[in-house]
Amino acid sequence: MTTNGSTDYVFETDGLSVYYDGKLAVDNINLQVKRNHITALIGPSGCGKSTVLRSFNRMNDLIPGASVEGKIIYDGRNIYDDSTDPVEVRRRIGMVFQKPNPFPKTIYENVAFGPRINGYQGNMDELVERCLRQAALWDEVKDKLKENGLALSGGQQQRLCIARALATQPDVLLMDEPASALDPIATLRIEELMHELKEDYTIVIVTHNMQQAARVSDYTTFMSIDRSNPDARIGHVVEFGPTEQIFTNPQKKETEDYVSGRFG
Amino acid sequence: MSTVETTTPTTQAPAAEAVGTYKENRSARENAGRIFFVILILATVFGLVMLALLITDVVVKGIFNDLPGDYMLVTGDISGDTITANEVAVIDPLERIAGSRTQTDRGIAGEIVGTETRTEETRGGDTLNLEFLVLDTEHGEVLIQIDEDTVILDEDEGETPATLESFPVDGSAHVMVIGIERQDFIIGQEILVGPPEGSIAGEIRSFEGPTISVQIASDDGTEELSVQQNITLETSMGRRTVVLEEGTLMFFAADPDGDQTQLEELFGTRPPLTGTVITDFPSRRPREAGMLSGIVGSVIVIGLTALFSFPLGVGAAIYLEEYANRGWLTNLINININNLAGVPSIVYGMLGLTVFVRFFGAFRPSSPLVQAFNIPVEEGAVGGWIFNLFGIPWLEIHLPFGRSLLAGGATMTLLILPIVIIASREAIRAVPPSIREAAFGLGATKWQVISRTIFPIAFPGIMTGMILALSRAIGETAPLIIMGAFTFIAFLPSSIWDQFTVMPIQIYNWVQLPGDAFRVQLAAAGIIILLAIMLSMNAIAIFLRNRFEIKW
Repeated sequence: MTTNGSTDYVFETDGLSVYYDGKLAVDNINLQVKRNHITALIGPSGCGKSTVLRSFNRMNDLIPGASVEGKIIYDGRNIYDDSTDPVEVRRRIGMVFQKPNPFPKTIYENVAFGPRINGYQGNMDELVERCLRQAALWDEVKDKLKENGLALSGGQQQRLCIARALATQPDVLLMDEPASALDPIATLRIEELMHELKEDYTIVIVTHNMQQAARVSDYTTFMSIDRSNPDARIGHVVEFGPTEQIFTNPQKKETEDYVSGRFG
Repeated sequence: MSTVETTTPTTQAPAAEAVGTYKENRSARENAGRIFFVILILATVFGLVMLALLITDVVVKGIFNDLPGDYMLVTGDISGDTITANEVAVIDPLERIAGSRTQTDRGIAGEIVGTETRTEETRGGDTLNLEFLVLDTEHGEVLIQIDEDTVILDEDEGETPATLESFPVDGSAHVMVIGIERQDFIIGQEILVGPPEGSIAGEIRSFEGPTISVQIASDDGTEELSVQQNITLETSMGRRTVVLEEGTLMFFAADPDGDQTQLEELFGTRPPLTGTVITDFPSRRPREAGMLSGIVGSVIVIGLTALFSFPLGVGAAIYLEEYANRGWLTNLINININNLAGVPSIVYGMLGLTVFVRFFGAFRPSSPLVQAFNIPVEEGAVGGWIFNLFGIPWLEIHLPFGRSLLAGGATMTLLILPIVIIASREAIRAVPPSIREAAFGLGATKWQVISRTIFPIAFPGIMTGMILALSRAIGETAPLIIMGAFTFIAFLPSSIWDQFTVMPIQIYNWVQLPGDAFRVQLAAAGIIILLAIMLSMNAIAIFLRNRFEIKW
């Protein structure tokens, strides 16, 4: 079942399995990610949420010994196809990491980095301002664009990283626990920001925080490790559906245990 | 929030071009960038080598070594017919002069009134013909010993030019004699006894030994005098006994109460850290000895070492950290690099001797290669195949490198390469993985990640390791001695193919010499200079680390 850019789904995974050094880490993931919606991945630690997220933009390629089976259809094409350029995939599918990781450069250069390396031709000042506005950071940093990005607070740094990811004009934003290193106020700002960004981007977020998933996401995927073989720690999808359904009317016992706090 | 709303209409289709456009064909761009980078590195290396050649050729030779044009240089046999009655200045009548050095405070100016040959008997019983030149100077007639290294500055017009008269042996302070002047020859008199025994200044304490007859020359003419041969002097280095021999020069302070240091300043013992230590060439007279050739040699060798080891070392580190697959070959290389960092430096000297100085003997006249292709090689220690690739005079290429600055730099490169690689790898490894992921996540290619994020962030660490490795190299003696660096170089190199010496070798040479002035004063001065250069290099490294290190 192939799709093209005009369909509702940005990603469709088909039997996605990831191995680290030949050892199965996540098994047979089948997911759909809807355009201009926020999809959350929740589940206990070590169940492979981040692994699944990182396979969406081929970041797992950077880990020595990692290999992927199955397909991820993006824009009508399998991103793991031999003819697909992983660099192009990563430009169109941006990523925001758990820990804010701005480059040790100026705020301006942090945002301009992506466009520069991708050969952006246009008004860089305009682009930087637009991205910083989209990340709701412009008013705080407009007078200190030449200061080092590391001088900002943790929440500001994370919004700078979001602005930096937006600057390459991606389709999708992958967020790997973007607020886990932040205080509640900074977390709230990031969540508000995600609601605003939903207008233009598709967002996939991994979170440990179930309230956060319930607050921000439209669809939720609950992942867990295979209980029949707990030592192998093989992740799989337990349940996938609209967020409201997962949190209020879960179809599976395991999901209910987890979202109600009775898990493990 | 309102700011976001105002901008959203322009960003309806974020994946498509909103403000600008993206160029197509990224891989072609990437390759072009990589080729450009390689060309840039090659061009930089080539340019720096050319610059080094140009500097050593034009600046060093031009400024330091050129003679004033008005004077004629006469060496070797001197015919009395042609130069008698000419005003001349004789420089260093007894010292070997290498190259075309003009700056000296040893010399005397006057009119040649005659020549004289004397047959002497040496201590070993051989006979020796000594050539003398009789000069009419402002201090009276002076007998100057001539050998084939004596340099005579002769002016075409036959007049003593002002520059010649300005050669020291200042008549107001000293009287120059051959032999001994009677009226000042008393206990307590400050004198300086000159060559050929080496110079020493001090106060006369006592006379001993057999009585000999000596000639004295002064304004009043020549006369004979009988003195005891052994004179004990109170010098700044303790009591020394001087044996008067044929040819001994003695200088008396014109003022009997004159200051000893006045004489010491002329020659003999000298305060160690005068400027001349760094501006003079090596000499057998401590008063005139310096380490200019050592300093220049060290600077050029270290410069070449930096030039070679930076691209090689950093390139190797980047390859091993970023590109090399984990496997037995990489492990072998890792183990080897770590072991090579601990190999005694003298081993690298042997390696440099075989590989760079001799090219495994490939260009010896008897080698099969030379005979098979009939290559026009020159014989001798630094011989080989010398040819010119582009017809530019200073762009010679010597194969093998011979005992040249280039071979020294290449040997030092081998010595510090493991240290540079290890330090660079540490610096690259210290870049947090999150930075790498961030750059990859933005669609950077591997080379862009390395060249735009990892390398700039690791650069201060790389530079610190580089400078520390170079400051180790600047103090290394053993490999260069094995490689064949010289201990006595009294000229500046004109190209990277010239023979050379370095500071530590000069110091090593001084320490071996018998005179206290060499061992105690000059060697100490040299060590201080070497330490000063080394510590300032380390200070630059620390400054770089503190100034540019990134606090995460």
